[in-house]
Amino acid sequence: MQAYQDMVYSTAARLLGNDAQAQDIAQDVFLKAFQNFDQLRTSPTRGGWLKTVATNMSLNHLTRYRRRWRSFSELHREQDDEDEPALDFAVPDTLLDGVAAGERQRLVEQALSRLPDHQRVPLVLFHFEDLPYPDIARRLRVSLGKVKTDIMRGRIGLAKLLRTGASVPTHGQPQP
Amino acid sequence: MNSSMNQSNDDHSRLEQFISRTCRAQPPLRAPGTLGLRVFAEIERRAALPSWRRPFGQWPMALRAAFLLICIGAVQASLSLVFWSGPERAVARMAAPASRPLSWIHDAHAWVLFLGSLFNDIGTTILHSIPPLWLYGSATSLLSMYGLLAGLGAVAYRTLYATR
Repeated sequence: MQAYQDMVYSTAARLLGNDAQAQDIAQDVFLKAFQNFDQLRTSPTRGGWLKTVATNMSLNHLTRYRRRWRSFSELHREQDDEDEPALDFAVPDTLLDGVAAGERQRLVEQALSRLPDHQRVPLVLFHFEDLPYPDIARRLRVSLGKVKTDIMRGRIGLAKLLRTGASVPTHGQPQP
Repeated sequence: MNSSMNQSNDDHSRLEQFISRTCRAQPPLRAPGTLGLRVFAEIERRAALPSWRRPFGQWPMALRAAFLLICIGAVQASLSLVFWSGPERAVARMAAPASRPLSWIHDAHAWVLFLGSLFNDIGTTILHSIPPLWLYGSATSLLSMYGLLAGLGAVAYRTLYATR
């Protein structure tokens, strides 16, 4: 368990953007692994199994507990145009070059947790979980165009937060 | 026009590469030290539960089969109550001669039907004794309260959470 707990926790924390919920999901993942212990003990793909289960449980959690709120808060976003968002600033390749490794890690995680769900989740699935656009669209049950737009907006938002140093702390964010 | 579009595509491409590089360079987050303790504590708690309080999939096979049979019986009894109940029919069944084999099953069935129809009659009587205005008023109040709470919840969400 110790070999995989960071990976499982990271997957949940980045998708959910919430430390307490990520701990709950990580706990459930390992309880499920315990139920399938006989199969997983000798399986060479148990790491992948754990990552997949952590991803699925996190997405299910988001779907289950936030569906009601979407009707109030995010409905209009479903109807947003799927035009390419404008990038109104240039991102220098050296944006984080002068930042120490630990500080850079903290900045990125903090910025990620401050993105809205509908941008953070597809962005994490694309850049951290290496899922292709069509798979993300299928799993999130949104159109391919919306996934691409949300990821693009997420990148812009993340770059802006990184550029400004993301100096405002947030409650419940995952700690590196 | 074309040059500005090309410039925009280049900017987006550079941004994608930058974010991709940044994300790949991120090490995993460190899980809290208490995670392992929480998992083992939960495993012990679940192991201490009696079988009937565990998830249905973990029940013993015999118990699962018995539960399914009881459910099927309950559904059948409910359907019988709906489609076949009636005081006369139930009383007639209760008065039927007990000469048939396993007659106690028929007696029990008749009692269930009789009680079902009794409760049905009582419920209908109570429902009819309430003025319709009260019923409509209660329904309207409930709907209004639901709408009010949903609206308050939406406002609270958009104010406290969505703007974070």
